[in-house]
Amino acid sequence: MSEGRDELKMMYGGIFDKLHASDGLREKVINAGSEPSSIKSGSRRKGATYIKAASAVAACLAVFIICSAIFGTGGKNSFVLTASASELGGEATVEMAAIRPVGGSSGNTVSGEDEEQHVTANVPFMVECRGKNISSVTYTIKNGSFVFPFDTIKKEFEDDYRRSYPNEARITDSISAKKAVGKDKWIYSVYSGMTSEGYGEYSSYTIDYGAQSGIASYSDMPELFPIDIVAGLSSKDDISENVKSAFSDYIFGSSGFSDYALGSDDTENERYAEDVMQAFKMIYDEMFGRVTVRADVTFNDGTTDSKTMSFSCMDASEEGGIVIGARIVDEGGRDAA
Amino acid sequence: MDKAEYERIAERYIDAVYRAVLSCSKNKIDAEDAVQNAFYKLLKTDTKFNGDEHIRKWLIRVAMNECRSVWRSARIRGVISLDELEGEAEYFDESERDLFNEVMRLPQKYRAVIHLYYYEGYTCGEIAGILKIKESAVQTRLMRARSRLKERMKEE
Repeated sequence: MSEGRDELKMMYGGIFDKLHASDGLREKVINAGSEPSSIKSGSRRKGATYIKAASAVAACLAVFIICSAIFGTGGKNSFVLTASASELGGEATVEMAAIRPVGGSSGNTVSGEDEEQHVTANVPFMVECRGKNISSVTYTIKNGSFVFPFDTIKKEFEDDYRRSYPNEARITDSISAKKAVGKDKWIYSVYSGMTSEGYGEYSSYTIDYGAQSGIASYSDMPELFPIDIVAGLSSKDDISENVKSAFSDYIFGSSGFSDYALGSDDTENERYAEDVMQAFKMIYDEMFGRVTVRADVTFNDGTTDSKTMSFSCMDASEEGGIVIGARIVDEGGRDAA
Repeated sequence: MDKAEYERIAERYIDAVYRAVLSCSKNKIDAEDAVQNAFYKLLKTDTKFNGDEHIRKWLIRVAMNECRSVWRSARIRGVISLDELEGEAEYFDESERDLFNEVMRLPQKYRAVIHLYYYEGYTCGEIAGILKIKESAVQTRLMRARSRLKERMKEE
């Protein structure tokens, strides 16, 4: 047995010993230490993205030109919403992001004689708004909340998912958000047992494109836009028997949520893990299917336009997560200033 | 960290960090981005390091987290192939290619522990510290990864 392991170690080590960082990568990394000031100034992007600033500018310019050609006839105001770089439009559902493994919480609350089971989950809100003459965009959520893992970024730190974030003051300069109130409030803070301290929970937020001095891009800078959609579902909601059954069998079963959460290694029974995946998919579909986000765009001349999107489960991702897709359900309408 | 110290660390560990992220990235571009971001964060961090080994572990952990943030976008699928790395890699024989491809077919979480255990030589406890997971989870992942590799290599 250990002989086989030693052989694996030798072979595996031999393979990786032959792999080296390219000269180009080596040069970029080492030069980053020589010119930190030039990296930091004049750009919002970090690390590799800073280093590749020139190519990024060229790419943005190309996107701008293409968008202008398609949507910007005669200098008219326009905007499109994209998820993972694909435009939302028509009936098509576009992949937005995967549910994080163990992305949520669950629990029981007892009210009177009734026991209520509830579960929440969060998914990165990776939607961008691009267009012409945009002054600002406000995203407003229904049946869910936006969550910023932090309100004010002071220094690099790690969040609960052990991703580390760099300092970036511009986020707070250019994004203003409205705290969630009323029913939205319970979804995250109460169900997860967390207080909102340290966790921004919002019903809407606005990105000021003037302050951004460009396009606010989630896909280019996911680490700078850690904005999640949080949705919740209760056994007392109007849900189908199948979903109720999934609640009872897989989330609140004898072993509990955490033991069988997606991505967990503690599930010895692979078959059972597949069942859990399907159950979660059903629950997430119900949960995120209730959420809508409306994007209200204000253009530089004061006119406005809006689109509303909804969400649904697509398929299991390669890594075992569940992909949430977005689609436009209401094209809204343009209003004069 | 001053410039000379940064350059010394970069020279010393860039290959180790690159190899670590290759083991859990899905393409070369992502791997290179993750390496650059990790070293950029080293420049910016206020972390007080207790020696080079601490820096090495920190860099590997940050770079692997960078890989996860790419996964988070759920856009890019597929795995790295040795063909993609041709030009910067030395000659690989058939058995090495087979093993590399089979390892790359494993889920990311298995690849990470395989690399840290078999290449970096870290103990399960150290890997648990780097990946911020339980030691028992490291052991489980290693066991399953080995088992899957064994099955797949037998099939061929």
